[in-house]
Amino acid sequence: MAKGSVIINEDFCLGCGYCVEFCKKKSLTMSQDNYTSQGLLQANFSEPESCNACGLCVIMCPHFAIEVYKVI
Amino acid sequence: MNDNKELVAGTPKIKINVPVPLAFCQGCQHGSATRVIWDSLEDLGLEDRIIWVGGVTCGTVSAFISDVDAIGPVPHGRAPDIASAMRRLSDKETIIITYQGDGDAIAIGTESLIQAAARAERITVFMVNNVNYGTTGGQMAPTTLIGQKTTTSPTGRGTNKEGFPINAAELVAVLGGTAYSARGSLTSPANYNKTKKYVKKALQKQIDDIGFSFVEILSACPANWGMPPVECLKWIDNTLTKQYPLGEFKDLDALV
Repeated sequence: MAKGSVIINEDFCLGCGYCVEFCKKKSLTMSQDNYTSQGLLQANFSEPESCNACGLCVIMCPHFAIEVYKVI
Repeated sequence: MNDNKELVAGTPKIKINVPVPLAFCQGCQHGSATRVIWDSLEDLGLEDRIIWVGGVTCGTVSAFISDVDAIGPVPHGRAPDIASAMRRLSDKETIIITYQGDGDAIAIGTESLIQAAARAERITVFMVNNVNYGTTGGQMAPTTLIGQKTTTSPTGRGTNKEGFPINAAELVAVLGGTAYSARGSLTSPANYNKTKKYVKKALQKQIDDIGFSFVEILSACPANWGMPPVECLKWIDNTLTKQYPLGEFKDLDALV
């Protein structure tokens, strides 16, 4: 059962990879075929099972693209 | 949002919900620098008491996507002067901050910054340092490292003609009117939280009416440094912090 859920706003994400770099649980990965509205490869919430809703990706995201929810 | 989900962390409430992306480059940390200030304002409950003076910098746009009262871009480098004028015209409840870049605060605006600190103006200056003139295309700034290549120093900054970098936080710290001076970075969640602590302390000095407070925030500029964003963070940690060490340089409870 996943503990957390990450929502990435495709309009705001610019694919810098800071969230992927600092995701301790490897829940986030850079997409290989999924592009943002700016035409850049975007971050994907690919492994929801390992997310523990720590919220580190939110404070590292410089473009206000991420929201983290705790699953109750 | 479903009923079985609870928001842990997201966009600060101060931010206006705009439907378009921010005007920042890929990996630019002006957004993070803005977030660290917004988060601190929310934690201290200052959203309704703040006046945000935006200097000439890429990040000035963040003044206009937030709910705070803001003015900007003000004339280049003169944000501390305008903030000083506001301080004299406003009551003590009002908190006045400036958000400036390194080209704004320590190149064209050095005189304004230093005089405001020497006068012990009760304002808080946030200087986002990305060691070049990012807005105009990556020219050499006074903060550029020795040997660093920019568009106006293509062979690397030399000390013979171009001189030496200026450490703004240490410079401001030696002035008598300064109550607080610190330098933080945003290269990891740990550094983010440390910088947030510095920002809160700086705002507290103004709330307590002690003196001038200053926080320098090291920020990545991948577009002008010519590096992938994640490498920029490592470059800040490994190279930039040798010239610009992180930490607090002055923390006074009362001016002498």
